[in-house]
Amino acid sequence: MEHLSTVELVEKPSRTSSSSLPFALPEKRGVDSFSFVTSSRNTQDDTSSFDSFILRTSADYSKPKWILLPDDNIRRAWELLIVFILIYIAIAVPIRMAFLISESYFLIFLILIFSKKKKKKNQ
Amino acid sequence: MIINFNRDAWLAVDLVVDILFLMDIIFNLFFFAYKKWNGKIVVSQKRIMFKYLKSWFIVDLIATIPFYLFLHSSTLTELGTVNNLFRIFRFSRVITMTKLLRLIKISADKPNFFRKTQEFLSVHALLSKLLWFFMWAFLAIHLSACIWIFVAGINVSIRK
Repeated sequence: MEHLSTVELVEKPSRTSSSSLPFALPEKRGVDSFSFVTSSRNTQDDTSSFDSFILRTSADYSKPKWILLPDDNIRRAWELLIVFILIYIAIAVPIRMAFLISESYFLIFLILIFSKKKKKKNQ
Repeated sequence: MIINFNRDAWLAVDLVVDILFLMDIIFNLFFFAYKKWNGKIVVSQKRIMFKYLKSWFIVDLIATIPFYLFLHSSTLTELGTVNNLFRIFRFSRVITMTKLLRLIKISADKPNFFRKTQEFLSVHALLSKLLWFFMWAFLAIHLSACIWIFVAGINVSIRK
């Protein structure tokens, strides 16, 4: 019964260890132990309010359900969709700016180009 | 193919893209937890909102505003009945280029691009750097070519 209700308050690790592996910790530990880091223990974070809970595990216990972590699959799919739209935007928007001034003007432009080339050949 | 495309179809595509971008803004505001500089993940609703409002919100908002709706009446006018006054509006098609502001977000965090490409495509780090270079080179060449054609088109239309 003791270990069921343990919530470890882990002190803030060094910069290198925390930045390299933020999600590797929960698999190594037991099932019941999950670790939070409160900002009150951090010396560098001056905030001590309750809403500044910072989660270190991918097993989410304190976060609301609608908040998506960076490795969430739905979020990844959404970001992939946005990337595809960005590729489309980056290619299509300049083309449309260039060519859709009007359709007939573009044809005139093409005719002018080819006619001038023929004149140069004749000269 | 692009040139003969109907303008109402373009309008529909624009609307869909803008709705998706708006959804992206909303998701970033409310749902997407972010990673701090020390690798920790902030799940607080307030902090996510403030972080996004301080960092990328304005850029995303400007990129999402549908300027083409304001231009719609002027661009749809027939070519034969275009006044000299309406010709000015043709230059304002440049304002649709604000959509490209979203590319600044990609260029701003280069390490994120490397991480994502290595994660999704599972390529070597050097290859992702090469991809970065070719992407921006392609975009710069494409953009400059389109600007050349745009200027030439304006020149032709004035000469006529």
